[in-house]
Amino acid sequence: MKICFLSNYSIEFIFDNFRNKLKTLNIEAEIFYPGFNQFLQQIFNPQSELYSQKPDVIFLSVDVNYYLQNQIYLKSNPPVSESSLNQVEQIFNSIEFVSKSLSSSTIFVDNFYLDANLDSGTLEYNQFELDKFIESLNQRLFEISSSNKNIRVINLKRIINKYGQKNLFDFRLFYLAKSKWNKKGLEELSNLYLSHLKAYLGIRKKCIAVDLDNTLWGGIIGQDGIENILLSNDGAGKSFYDFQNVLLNYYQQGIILTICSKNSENVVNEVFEKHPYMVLKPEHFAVMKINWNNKVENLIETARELNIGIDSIVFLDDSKFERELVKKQLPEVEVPELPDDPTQYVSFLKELDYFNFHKLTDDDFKRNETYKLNFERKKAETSFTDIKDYLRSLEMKIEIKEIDDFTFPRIVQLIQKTNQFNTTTKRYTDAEINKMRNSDEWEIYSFTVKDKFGDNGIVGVFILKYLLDKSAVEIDSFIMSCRVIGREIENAILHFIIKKAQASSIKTINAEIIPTAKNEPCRNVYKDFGFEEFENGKWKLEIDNKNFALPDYFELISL
Amino acid sequence: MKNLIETLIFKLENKESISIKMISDKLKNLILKELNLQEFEFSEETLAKDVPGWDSLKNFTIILSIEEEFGIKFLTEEILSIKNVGDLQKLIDLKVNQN
Repeated sequence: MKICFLSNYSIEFIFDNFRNKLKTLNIEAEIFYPGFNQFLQQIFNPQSELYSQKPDVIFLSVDVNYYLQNQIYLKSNPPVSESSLNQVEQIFNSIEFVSKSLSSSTIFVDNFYLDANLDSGTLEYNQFELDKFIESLNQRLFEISSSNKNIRVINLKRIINKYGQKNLFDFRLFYLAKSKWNKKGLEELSNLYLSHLKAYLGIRKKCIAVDLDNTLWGGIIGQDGIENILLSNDGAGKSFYDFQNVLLNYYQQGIILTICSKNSENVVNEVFEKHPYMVLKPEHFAVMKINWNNKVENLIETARELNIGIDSIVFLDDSKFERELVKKQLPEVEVPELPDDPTQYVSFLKELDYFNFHKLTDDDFKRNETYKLNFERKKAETSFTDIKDYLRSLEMKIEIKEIDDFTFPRIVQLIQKTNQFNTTTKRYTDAEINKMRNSDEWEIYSFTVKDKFGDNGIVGVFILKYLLDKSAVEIDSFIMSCRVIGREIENAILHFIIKKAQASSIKTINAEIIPTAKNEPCRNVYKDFGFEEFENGKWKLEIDNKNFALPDYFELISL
Repeated sequence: MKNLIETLIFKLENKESISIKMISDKLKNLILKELNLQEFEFSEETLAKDVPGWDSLKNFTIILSIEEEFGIKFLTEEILSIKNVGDLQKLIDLKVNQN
């Protein structure tokens, strides 16, 4: 991907740091920077490099304080000069201009803050006009971003509030190098941009596995007893109460919570049932491993039961011993160093950069529910000896629908983040999907799966590409959420595709498998169905005059 | 060992020969790291423009890293007064001694 930085100060100071961070995350990106204070020229000149490069992502960082220097007029409202206002106007014009001219790029715009050096002190005791002015600019930024879908606002103000200007800025650099940010400032700025890039790319962890003793409450329940553990809505015990609330908040965003604790189940159940300040309840946990087994085994089982990769788990445990054990034996699991002091748990958890979302879909809200249901399905599974009997008992209903504005966000999300059942792992962007929607060559479908346990929501996407002479159709992408793997849904979808192709007298279905480190679960989807590999990774199925029967345990509905 | 000490004493007495060695390994390694270079022979007379990648931007990142590494802080005029690597080393030594 191509990332462009546009700025009115020397933002290139951030590049080394940012590049290193991209590298650690295995994000392959080319950074393009047209030079110091070139943003207006680049944006307003259609011949500029910006438009020939067409970056996927633009970070537009404009420090409005550069336009306000030495121009504070306490008697006018807003308290800035005409020329400052004009320059500010230019910024907004340029944002809207670039948003429209590069409609397929995503543009991240920093919001504005007031440089402490522009403070007029006590004179402003009942005015705060300058603050109000900056706030009005930020308000305008929000308005622009809500009417231009490719603009996303970055809350730069928040890191400035958090760390303070004195800790982030170095005025020697401001005067000598046209950038204020010191090392700490560059580090935080770089982290902030990276969080947004991760949200944009859908890079995030799916699950938090928590320990109980000294993690969700203070003390050891088995020794101290329910009345002596530290957990309350006041004093030191409140740190655990607050920590649980943050976890609950992640749960509500669709992050799966599980327990991984060495304890006796009945003792823990008592806490769940009787402790008045236990924020998290059993229903918030998709899996509860409360036993005396090795935590490594428990985590492996957790991943298996949830059908998620072990590398999508973040493990939170106060015990250094357990953390080291997990780190050593399961290096894929993310094991942050929980602070020794529980009063720091909340800020620590908040700062973990693992759970970045830009927008939440209905499915995100519902996800935990479905994982819980899945768990019940798995339990039910064990009571059947024949998998087909089991599948039949699920009463599955699959609804297939061509893409529309309502399914669009979820489709893009699945394309961006599904790793396991993803035949070609082509990460199409919003813009590319839109292009396909407007083309006769392409068809994009999503599907939902309902069963007697509940609604799984949109769990899959497939993209069809028609040959111009309509002699064949290619399954360009076939993506399915890991939640529904193992239920032969893929076969039902292939039936749909075949029926559809036969109806338009198409004779051949082509398909491709591009292996990745993670897409093992879908490697054999075409082979198992009876496709023939005619070239490495390329599969085809002749469907002319052939009859394919849909297994009786599906009801297939095409909308 | 005895030889080494004798050489050092000789060098200390003879200020001209020690000047070639005046760029400390600590400074050298720090510059190499910031510029992503494997090796470079620095002398007191080395100018930024003689070293691959040492542009005005890197100039500041090197200064900031030096401050962090040596626990010192330069004044703006001191930063502006640095003409070559020798100046930089002398300034570091001066600042470190002041602490």
